[in-house]
Amino acid sequence: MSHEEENLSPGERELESALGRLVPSAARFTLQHLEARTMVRIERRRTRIWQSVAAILAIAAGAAFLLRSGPRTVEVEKIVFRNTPQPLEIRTVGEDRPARPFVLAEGEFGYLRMRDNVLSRGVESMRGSGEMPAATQTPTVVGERASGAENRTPWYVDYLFSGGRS
Amino acid sequence: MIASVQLAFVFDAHAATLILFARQWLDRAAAEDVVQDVFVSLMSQRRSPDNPRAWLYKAVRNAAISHARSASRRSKREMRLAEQRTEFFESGADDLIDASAAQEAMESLPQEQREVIVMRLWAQMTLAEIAEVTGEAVSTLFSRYRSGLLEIKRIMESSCPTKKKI
Repeated sequence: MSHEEENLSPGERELESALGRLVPSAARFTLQHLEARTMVRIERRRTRIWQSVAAILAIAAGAAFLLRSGPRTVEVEKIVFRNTPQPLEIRTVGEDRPARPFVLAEGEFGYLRMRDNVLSRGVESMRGSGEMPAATQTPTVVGERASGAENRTPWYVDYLFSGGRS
Repeated sequence: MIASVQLAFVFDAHAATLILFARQWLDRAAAEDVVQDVFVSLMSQRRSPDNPRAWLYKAVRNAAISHARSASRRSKREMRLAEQRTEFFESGADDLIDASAAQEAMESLPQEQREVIVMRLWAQMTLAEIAEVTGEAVSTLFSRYRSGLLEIKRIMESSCPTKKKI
């Protein structure tokens, strides 16, 4: 006790001592109860922290959306029909296509050479070119027998089975 | 956080006295609520206060005064007081003073004197520590303490004229 106690009279000290021997009523809660309440409070605080973070993010996202959607450029695609004069010259596609260069060697790849000739010069190029085998000068259809040549195989059959070598 | 051993010690030593201290402003149930809240706050703290006893009494004092100032809570308190009357002290065979008489005397004291007497007698706090809690000067507190003791003595003598005078 401090020095002020020295100023108390003996009767006051006796009363002080008698009062001090009284025991305050005990608490009706336990330490375990307090610990449980503390855990609840701590968990609630953590939850509030995450709720605050989520709320701040939501507000930021909303603000960003509002700021972004202010003046916006809208692109409209229009189709406009215009009267244009007819072209003076109508050119046929492929008309002046340059002839395909003939690159195959003589005597090799007969079919390919013939095809190239047909593509570049037309069907007439086959006539009298000497490239068609002599046995096939008269084309026949499969199953059709040429007159006077019942036992002869059509030229293109031989041609196909020969691998294109006539 | 405060260590559990230290917490158990603080709880055993001060829980009942803190409730008695809070009862200077509140009824028993509200006082227990306030003390529980203060203990939970202490346990939730990351760092233990330097003087846990002074911290507890200061916190209980602030919370009890705040609690008592609420008008709605005050009306509830009055209702609860009308319903129940609980004792400040536990009656013991070796008590030199009748517990209920001491309670009556305590209840008749002014607020400022009661809190000083409770902190001094049952919390074993020095006047300097009490000054830390209340923010009053030590000399003022001593004056209140002494006046309170004299008032208790006077009340008890007047209520029990046949008993032995202390």
